[in-house]
Formats: sequence, structure tokens, C-alpha cells
Amino acid sequence: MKQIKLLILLLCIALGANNLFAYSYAAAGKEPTIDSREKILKFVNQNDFTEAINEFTKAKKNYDYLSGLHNKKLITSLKTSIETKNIKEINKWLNISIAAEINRRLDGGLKNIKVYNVSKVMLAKANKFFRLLEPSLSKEKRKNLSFAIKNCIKAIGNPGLFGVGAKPANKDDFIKHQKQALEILNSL
Amino acid sequence: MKYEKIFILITTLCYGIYIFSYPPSFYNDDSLFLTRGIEHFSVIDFSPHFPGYPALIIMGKFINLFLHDAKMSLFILSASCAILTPAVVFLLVENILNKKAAIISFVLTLSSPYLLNLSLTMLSDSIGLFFFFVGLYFFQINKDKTSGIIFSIALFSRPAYLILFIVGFIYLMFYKKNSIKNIFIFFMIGMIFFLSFIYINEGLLYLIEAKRFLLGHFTLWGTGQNSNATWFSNIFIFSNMLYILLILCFFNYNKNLKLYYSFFIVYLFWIIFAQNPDNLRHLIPLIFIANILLSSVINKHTVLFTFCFLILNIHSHLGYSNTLSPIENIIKDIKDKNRVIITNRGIEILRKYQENPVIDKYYTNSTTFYTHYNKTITITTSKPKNKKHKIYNGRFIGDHTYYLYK
Repeated sequence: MKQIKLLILLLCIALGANNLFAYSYAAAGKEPTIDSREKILKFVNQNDFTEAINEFTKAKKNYDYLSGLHNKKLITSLKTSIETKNIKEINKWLNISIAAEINRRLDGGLKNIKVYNVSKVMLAKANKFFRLLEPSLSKEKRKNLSFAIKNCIKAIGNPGLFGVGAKPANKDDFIKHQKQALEILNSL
Repeated sequence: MKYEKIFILITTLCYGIYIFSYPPSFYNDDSLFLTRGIEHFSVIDFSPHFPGYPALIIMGKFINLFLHDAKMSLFILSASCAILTPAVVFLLVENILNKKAAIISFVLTLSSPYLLNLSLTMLSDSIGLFFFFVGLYFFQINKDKTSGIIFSIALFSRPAYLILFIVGFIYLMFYKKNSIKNIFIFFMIGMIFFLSFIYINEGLLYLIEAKRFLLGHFTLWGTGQNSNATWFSNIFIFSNMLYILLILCFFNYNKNLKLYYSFFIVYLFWIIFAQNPDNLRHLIPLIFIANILLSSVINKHTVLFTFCFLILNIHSHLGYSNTLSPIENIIKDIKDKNRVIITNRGIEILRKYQENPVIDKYYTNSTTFYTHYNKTITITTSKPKNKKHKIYNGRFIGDHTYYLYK
């Protein structure tokens, strides 16, 4: 009898339960660069730059890696912008950290161009990062970067179904559009 | 042909004509992902959704061979399955109980406001549920091999109904040992076919994504939510009022419906503990199974009870006049192309069909930051307080009302 009562109680709680956290199908998934950006912006929004610099310090290793990959000034400039409470610069360098991730995934896509599935995952991730950067770009840059990434995705081809409808990868085309994407990413 | 069959044919036809008077319109991002899957089946293009819909994709691709319009193909497939579901429920109940109960369950299902939801959402629910009931019908008339194949189509159209298959399997083990072998063998044949289809397309990436999705479902998508809805507020609504009569089913237990009692109880627990209350459509299998259970007890005062249900169901249809989904109406309305859209609804639909950049509200801190310094349009399903806003009503029960403010 006790167990039945417990079960009914559990059912009532579950019926009235409201889940605490939001979700999104469009989000990029667990990514340290995005998580750090969110945490830093949380404290920037609260004008708490001491906590913002603490969050930066926790993610320093990742920013160090992205600096080496994309823009050597990233780590020092981001740190300085938080220390000097320069909100415009903080936003700029956080966007550059996202640009570094796009660069990294495009590079991964090219390196794995012969392994369709791996390349496709890399480019899908690049596209997810682009979606985060997109609102901060001018209309023209947005259009051109989207075009370049889409063409990189096209350039990896398609294995088709039983070979039917298969399209071979086009490395030269990929490199051409990757270069276009990098020009925009480097201009931020 | 008997009168009741003529009645079913004519009413199903009328309902079909009514449904196809609607244009195909995306209910949410999932319906867009399924359309993309019909154009090009890919684990990554479906992501973050688990691409376990090969049966749906194959059928959708077949229709698309003639139409060359993936959105329309998906609409025709999903709507047709929903339109035919009440007729299958009739055949099923006729074989389990009797003609009278079959007609009651048909009328309750056809007039249900939830059937309109099933018909217009362009999701896997209608296809999965239709084939599930078809499988049950073949099982009921002892065509075990056919039912095995049909069940595999149902599962690979809508894997989220897995719990119903587990219940069915346990039932077979205890009460229908003679059928289990044939059903299982033919179910496995179907399963191998569909898994091969995925493996040939995607290889091991399918398994990697499957693992990632299952983790994501139970830690984020399935258990998180973007509204204040609870299962209590979903179940105890005016439209479901007459289902209080289900209490009668538990006092007048019908042995022939043992399997359906099990479906009802287990699925109720399943949605409460493992499904997101944001989506009222998760309730649909429960409602249709409840219709079957009710048809066995409304044998006294049948006309009165059925009439009450009809009135309530018709009442639940009233007040919905839009033909396009709220998100597609919003897309038509957005004229200011310089504003950034902030939302947690229909993000991918917005990205595909309009120019404005979209910020995913899931990233709350960057959203707040961006709102401070830029002109934005916010789309939400929670009514904004103290803000001038536009309202976009849904088309059926369970379709969220959207609010837009600048």
C-alpha cells in the first residue's frame, strides 16, 4: 500500500513538474569556445568585469590554442579588453574566437576531404559557428561568408546511394571557397 | 457494402478533402528537417535529431519522385496517414470488440481535435501511429507475418513510440506465444532492411550520432523546455474533459482490451517522465488508445455520450481560422530586414526562408548582450508583459500561439 501511495505521489509531482532549463535544437552543442563566450558575456551584462576576467582565465588554454590557430592577438587583446572594460572590444574579440572555430572546422573539412562523413561533420560545425557570428556581420559579409561555407560543403561531394547520384569531391573548389571565407574571417 | 462502411468511406473522404484544403506549412523545425531528409537523407542534415526515420524518408522520396517538391510530399504522406487512421481504428475495434464499439471509436477519433494536429504538423507522429494501428489490425486478424513487417515500418517511421513496441513484445511473450515467432522474424527482416538503408548511406556515423542524440534527448531536448507547460496543464484541459469517463473502463475491465490497457498506462507514464510537455502532440497516442477503451464502456446511452464527445470535439475545433502556421505567418509579416530576430522557435525555418539574421535565444547571455546594443525582433510563445506585441494564433489544438515584439 505504501508503494502505491509513493507511486501516486511521484506521478502527481511529475504531472505538475516544469523543467527548469531551456533547450534548442539549433544550438551548436557542447563547445568550450561558445560556453566561455556565454559565461564572459553573462558577467559583462552585469558589469562584473572581475568575474568576467576569472571566466577568461579558466578558458585561457582554449583561447591560447585559438590564438595560435587564427589570430595571434586574440588572447592578449581579449584579456586587455576585459581588463579595460571595453565592451565593444570584448564583443569584437569574442567574435574573433568564433571566427577561429570556423577557420579550424574548415581546415578540418579540407584535411578530411577524402573521408566524406568526417568532412561533413566538420563543415556542419563550421556552419553552426557561422550562425553565431552572423548577427554581428554586415549584410555583405554575411552573404559572402554563407556562400563560401555552402560552397565548401558542396565541394566535398556526395557518396550517393549505392553510388547512384554520387558526386566526387573537388579539392580545388574547396580551397578556393575556403580562401574566400578566411578573407572575411580575418577582416573582423 | 454495409451502411457503416459507406459512412466511414464518405466521412473519411470529406475529412481528407478538408485537410487538403490547407496548404503545407511547417509546424516547427522538425518538419523542415524531415523535408530536408526527403531531399537528401543525411545524419548531419538531420542533426541534432536522430535520423531514425528511414521508413518515412523512403515513402517520402517515393512520393517526391512524382511531385519534385519535398515539402508537399511530406504533407501528402503525413496528412494521408492521419486521415486514414480513424478508419484503421474502426477495423481494429470491429475485430476486437464489435461494430457498435468500432463506430464509436471511429467517431471519437475522426472528430478529435488531436486528429487535426496529427494531420497538419507534417511530422512523423501520424505515419508512426497509422502504421502502428495497421500492424495491430493485422495482428488481431492473425496475419502475424504482415503485422511484423508493418510494425517495423511503424517503428522506423517514429522511433519515439518504441515504448509501445516494448509493451507489445512483453504482451506477446505472456499471452500470444504462438504469434511471437512470426511477428519477431518479420519485424527483424524489416529492421534489417531499414538499418541497411541507413548504414549504406551513412556508415558508422549513424551510430555515433545515435549515441549523441540519445544522451542529448535525456539530458537536454527531452527533459528541458521552452514554456511553462506541465503535463498536468496539458492533460486537464477542457477538450479532454469527457475522458474522465475512462474511470468506467477500470471498473468494467474488458479482457479483450488487455493490451490496450497496458499501452495506455505505460505510455502515460512514458510521456510524463520522458517526454517534453512543450508538445501536446505527445498526448495523441494516449487519446486514440483512450477512444478504443472508451468505446467498450459507452454501450449504454451510446448516442448521448457520442453526441457529447462530438459537441466537445467540434467546440475544440472552433477558434482556429488560420491556414498557415504561426511561424510562416510571421515570415510573411517581417518587413524590416535590418533587425536581428531573437527566438527559440522555428530557428532553422526562419534562417531558411527570410533574410534577417537569427539569434538562438538558448544562448541567453549573448542574447541579452545583443539586445542591449542592437535593434531586434523577438519571437516567443510566452505572452510579453508590458510590451506592444503582435499575436500569431495556431491552427489547431497544441499549436502554440506566437508573439512578436520589437
